[in-house]
Amino acid sequence: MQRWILFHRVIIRSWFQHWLRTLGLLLVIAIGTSIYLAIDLGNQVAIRSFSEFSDRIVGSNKITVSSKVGNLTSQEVAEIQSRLREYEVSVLPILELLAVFEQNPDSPKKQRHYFTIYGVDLLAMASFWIRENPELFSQNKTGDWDLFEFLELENGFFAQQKTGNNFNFSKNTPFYIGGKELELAWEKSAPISMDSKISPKLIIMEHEKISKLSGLANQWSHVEIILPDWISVDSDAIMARLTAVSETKPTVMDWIVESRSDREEGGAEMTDAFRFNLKAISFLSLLVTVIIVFQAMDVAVTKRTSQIATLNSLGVSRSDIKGMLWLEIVLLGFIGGVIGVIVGSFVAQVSAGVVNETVSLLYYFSSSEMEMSFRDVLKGITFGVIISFAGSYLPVRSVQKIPMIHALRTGSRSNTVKMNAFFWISIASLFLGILCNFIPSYPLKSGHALPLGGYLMCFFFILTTCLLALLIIKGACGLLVTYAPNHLVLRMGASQLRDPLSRHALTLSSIVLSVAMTVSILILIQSFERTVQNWMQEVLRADVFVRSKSGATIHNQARLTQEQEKDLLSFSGNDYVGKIYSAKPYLNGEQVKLVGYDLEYIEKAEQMSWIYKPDSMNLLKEPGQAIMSETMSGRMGISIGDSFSMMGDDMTELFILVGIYREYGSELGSVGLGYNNFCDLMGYDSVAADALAIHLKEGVNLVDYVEEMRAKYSALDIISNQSLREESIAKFKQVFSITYALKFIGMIVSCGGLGTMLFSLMLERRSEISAMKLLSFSKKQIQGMVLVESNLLTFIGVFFGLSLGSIMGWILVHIINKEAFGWSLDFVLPVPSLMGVGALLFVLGSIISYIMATWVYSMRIEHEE
Amino acid sequence: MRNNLYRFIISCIFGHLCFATYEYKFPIRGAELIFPRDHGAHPDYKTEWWYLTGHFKTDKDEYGFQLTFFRSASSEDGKIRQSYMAHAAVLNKTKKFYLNEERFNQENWNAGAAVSSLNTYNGNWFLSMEPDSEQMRARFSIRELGVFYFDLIPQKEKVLFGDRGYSQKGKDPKNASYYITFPRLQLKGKFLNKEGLLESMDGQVWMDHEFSSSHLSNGQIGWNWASLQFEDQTEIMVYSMRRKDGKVDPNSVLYCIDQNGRIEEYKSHQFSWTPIQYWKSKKTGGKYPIVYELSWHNKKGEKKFVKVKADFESQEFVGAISNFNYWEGSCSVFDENNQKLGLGYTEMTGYDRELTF
Repeated sequence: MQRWILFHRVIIRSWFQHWLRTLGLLLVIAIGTSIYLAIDLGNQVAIRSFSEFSDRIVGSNKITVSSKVGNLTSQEVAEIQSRLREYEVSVLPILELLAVFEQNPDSPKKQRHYFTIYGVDLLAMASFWIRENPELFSQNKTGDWDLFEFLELENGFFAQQKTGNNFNFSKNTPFYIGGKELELAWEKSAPISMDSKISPKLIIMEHEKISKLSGLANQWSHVEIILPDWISVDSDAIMARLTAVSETKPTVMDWIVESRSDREEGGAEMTDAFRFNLKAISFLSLLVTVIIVFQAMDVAVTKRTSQIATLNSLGVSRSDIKGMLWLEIVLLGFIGGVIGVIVGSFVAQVSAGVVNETVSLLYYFSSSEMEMSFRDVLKGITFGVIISFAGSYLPVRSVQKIPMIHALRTGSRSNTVKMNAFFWISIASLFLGILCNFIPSYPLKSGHALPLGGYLMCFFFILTTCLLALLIIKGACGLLVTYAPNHLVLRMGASQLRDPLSRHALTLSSIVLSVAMTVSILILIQSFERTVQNWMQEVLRADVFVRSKSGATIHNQARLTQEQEKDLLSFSGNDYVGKIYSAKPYLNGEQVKLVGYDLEYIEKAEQMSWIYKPDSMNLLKEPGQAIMSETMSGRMGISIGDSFSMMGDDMTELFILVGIYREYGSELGSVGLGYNNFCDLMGYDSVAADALAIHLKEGVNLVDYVEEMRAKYSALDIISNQSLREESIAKFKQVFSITYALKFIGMIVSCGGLGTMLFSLMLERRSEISAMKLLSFSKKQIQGMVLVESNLLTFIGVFFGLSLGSIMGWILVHIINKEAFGWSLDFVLPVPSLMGVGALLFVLGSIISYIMATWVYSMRIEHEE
Repeated sequence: MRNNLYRFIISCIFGHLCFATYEYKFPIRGAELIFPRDHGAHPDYKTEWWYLTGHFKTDKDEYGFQLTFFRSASSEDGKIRQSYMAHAAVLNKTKKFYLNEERFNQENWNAGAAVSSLNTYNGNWFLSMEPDSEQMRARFSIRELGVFYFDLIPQKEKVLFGDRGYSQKGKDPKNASYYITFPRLQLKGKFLNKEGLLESMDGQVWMDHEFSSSHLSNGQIGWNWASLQFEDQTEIMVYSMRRKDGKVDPNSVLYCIDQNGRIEEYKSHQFSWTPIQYWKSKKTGGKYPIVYELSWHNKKGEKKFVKVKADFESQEFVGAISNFNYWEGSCSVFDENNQKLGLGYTEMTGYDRELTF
């Protein structure tokens, strides 16, 4: 009761009296919470994107059956159904296709969106839906949807109402599917009321129709075996039944049978590298955010120092005061957390959207929108409470330790940093960081690796740099005070940093960290961009490139048709044309991208960028010779001279690796064979190319040529060399858009940190500044003093941040990226950009300092007291 | 469209509709049915069904059930295409609850019927026959109840109704079906309940197999059908076509089967089906006569009478996909003194709305 009265009289009154300050404090916690939430939900979207579609539709445990090579036929699907007829499971075969929809196709702002089409047996699906979720099936409830009417349509499709409205879908919606332009009719939302939970980029069609339209009649991508939720079914027995050799049909079925957990693991593995990098970058942002919350809480507690002393002198016990302070902190954390969750849910929409786009671009997956569960809300609020609690722990403890009379006279200045310990810790940390270079990366099933050593090295270097920066600032200020005795403002400003407080240390660290984060990301992006540009320069030499508008999925190629190829090859403006083929055989049990090369063309056009060039391209004409991209070679652990086997449609063949090339199109990489070996492995007599590289005769007008071809082949992408490069760079930049967002957050947080620190310092020094005013210190002198202090801090922070960022950039390029993605990148130090970032932060810091300094001078001590 | 669907379902069951470009076959009087081939599917005929109705006991409860596999052909541009529907319904007589399910598939990977012998399936429900012994095996499941898996062993020879299986339904000789029945099958099987416990199943079943291309005429608004199995090992099958003018269609018929499988046929004017008590469905508004009397004079001129009472009122099958509603339920048979004589199954259609063609 006494604590409550105390809490009400001291804390609540103070909140209302200084409502602006309280609001500021809450906002700081809210911003911290919202950043945490935005990053967390963005991450969730990235993870969920890969295993979601069917889960959303069926929402049950399942087993998936797919073909080892190519698609399943209807006969195979019937065989699967027959094998499982005595089990209480539902069998749902699906033809999965990638569809491309161009928004504003005729405008320069043309945007390409990827959708996933599920071709399903709608009657079977309806039976399943009715059985599993009778309450969700809207057929009889709404009366506005009719399955049988839909079955009569040749080209109808379902998509979410919201999606349809967003993209203006109509009865004549053009999509590019399997190399064809198809007009499909939007038949509104799917026939189940759980519609909103289905991915917005998922389209459902009757299998019979879409398989015929896309030229894949009687083919299915995979079969989902749904286990019921109302009765126990032995999934091991089902797996065994599916993998058993049939007695009546003794042919061994080439099926991959995966349980739900196998599949999820696979999906998660696929994105490991992307997610780890995302998490590492977001961790730095979070660290800076936490620092700013620490600072804000420090201010709040410091403000109470003299109040606490007064209460103490009035006989209030230390435990009551402690209880009162913790209650205030928890309450602030809770309210700040709630505000943070509200703000965060909006910020998360943006971050999830960015992640979504990145995922679509990287993996051709359409993913779902952000979802915030009650658990996420709780997590957010808990985060708010924890950071305010953790941020206040040290200040509260130190405030309690201050002798009463000292606190009444001077307030708190006891939490200075211990320099000797810092020096030795920084040396030890540097040493540990160097040692981390020898920690091997942790191999992942996908063939990628988790660069543990690289991440730890960054951590220790961050620690070293922050501590070193603090030591340097102390030393530098000592020198300034000693050697600039006649410059009052300089001496006064520098003297504040001779004995830096913990909040000086935190501010310095946050500046160092955010600058380093920004710089390292800049280096990574610039290195990547330069490398990719150089690579494209080497690889993209043809004048015009032709490919299908629809991309290939893991199950289906997007080839040109034989007619298209023949027609394109006979164009009169062609000088010579290179053909590129692709297929999906198996290597080490994984379906990989295989590229079939037109060897004569490769030699003529010098189309490859080599890391290890074969002695002669003629080698690839011989059976059993293969080349590989750097990423594939790294992932599979196959080096030059090593042999490996690949399984095609009908056969398994042994190959020797004779060359390694650069490829930055995919983190998974590819294997290359000469055309004849490609056809032998895949069992093709002849096959149409996936893409053509056309070199034009001299004098042919490129623009006219491209226009003419585009008019003729609307389902094909006809791209000039320059456009392809621009498109690739644009795509590349979009992939990195998430890092730009994080960079922006870092800058904001570090400027905020500087402002908060100055605010708390000035509050603490209000009597000192008042005394200076009484001693005839002018406004300019006081402003100058504050500016010196903050500019010194910013300057040292930016300097060390730039240095640390350059080192981290090097680690990102040469260690983390190499191990995680397997790409060799040229290291680029973008000096002008780095200087620009440093200068920008310095200027922003100065502006904030100036504002604070002006406010300090106008502050009236008696009012504050 | 609903109307189209409705027509489709009706054609599944009585199938004289959808005369398209394809020339379906029609039953021919005097043609000999050959088994086991004619237990299988006849895709050249418009419609076909295999209909199980019966009663069984498990370790815990008593049940009545129906399990039906329908096949219906349609033609488009001269090509014939098969569709398959299956209905299952279970009445727990002990605990007094009724559940049903419906499946619908086109001819593809998920449904089919063999032509050489009986082997039909719809999803993971199936009915198949050992060609030599004519023993059958079936499986079906009802969500939230369990999985039923059982063998059917003929206790009496199969019966061919009409003229050696040719059963005329209208004036035109084409208005006919082939009608094959196993009037008494012993059921032995396992019931896996939703708790995962296996219970044994024992019971008796009636099975109809019928196929035709046209056997219903205009003016009919629905029908009543019943199969009754008496404790003295005799059986009755009766169907009564109801006409729009309130009269009974002259093609209605009642068959009595004695212990040795001999059949006595009674035309529509020789028997009467008299409703006694009605039950009104809250779902569809259909008013079904769930208690009725059958009376006829046997060949010896004796008046015969039985009263049939539904074991549970609410046994109406409301189709979720098909939107086709009918009452098909487990019944008990009594004499004039209310002495129980046996068990039966009754089907009544056209009570929620008239069947119009």
